[in-house]
Amino acid sequence: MKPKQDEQTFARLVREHKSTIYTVCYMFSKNEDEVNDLFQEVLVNLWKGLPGFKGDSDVRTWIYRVSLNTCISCDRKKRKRKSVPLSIDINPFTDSDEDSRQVQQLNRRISQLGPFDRAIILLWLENMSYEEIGQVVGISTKNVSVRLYRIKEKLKNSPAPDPVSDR
Amino acid sequence: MKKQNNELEEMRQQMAILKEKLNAQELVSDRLLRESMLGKMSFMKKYTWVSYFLLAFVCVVYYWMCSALHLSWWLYAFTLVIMTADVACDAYINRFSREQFMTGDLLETSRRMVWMKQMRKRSLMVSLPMLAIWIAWMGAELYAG
Repeated sequence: MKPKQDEQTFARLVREHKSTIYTVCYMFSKNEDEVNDLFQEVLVNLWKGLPGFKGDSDVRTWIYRVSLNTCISCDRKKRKRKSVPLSIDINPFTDSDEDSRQVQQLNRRISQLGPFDRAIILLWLENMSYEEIGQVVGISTKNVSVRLYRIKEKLKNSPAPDPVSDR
Repeated sequence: MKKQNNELEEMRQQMAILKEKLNAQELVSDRLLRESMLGKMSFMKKYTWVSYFLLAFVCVVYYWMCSALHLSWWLYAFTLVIMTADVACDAYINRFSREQFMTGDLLETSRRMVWMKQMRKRSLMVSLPMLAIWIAWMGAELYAG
């Protein structure tokens, strides 16, 4: 693929899946700066991985894979590079309207889980099939089912996240 | 069971709210895309290159120090060997770079991270005693000299 085509493909992919990428980064972050950092890290990794993406999996699956791998393995302490701010005029962490509070509650619930379980529940909330989840995560469909059951039990049994003590 | 289903349904609705909010945002600017495509080196690659540079720097400076302070060339050789081994070990561990496991599945990524952590711990178990030996040797030579 010629470089110019690569750039156009990259830009198109990112714009089409921007919400997916942001959602994953949001669920692995505690504040706006972390989301910005992770988002840019994901973009860098998508760009680097684009030549190697042969289309043998669904694009959406590939985007999820890169985003989740980036978020799980990114060492925030080591990231010193200043990230480009996102073009966003909402702040899902601090906005106080009812919709934002709902989203914050979701973030708090999911943040109670370990990174691996967080990834699985995120994919499930995105209405992915067990098979697709298994492909992204690298476990069998049956294993996805077992893990999801445990995650749901854990979410059910854990106390409701306290909005006041958060942050 | 009903309560659990309600909770999960609530989470699904909250996710839909988030997606709706995000879809109304631009999020990705041309500048952001451009910065990402510049392919800036990750921290670990920079760290590896800095290690190489530091090794070369120490080779030169330490050579001068050995001459000036009349330290033994055995100590110089030992210093070079342990530093080279340390840098080589770091380069080997970080060879499994993020580009390689970024497109793999989560389980593979997690396993590689565990492997990298284990390798770093093992290399520390070797490098710390070597450092202790080096300090003691250096101290002895400076005292004797």
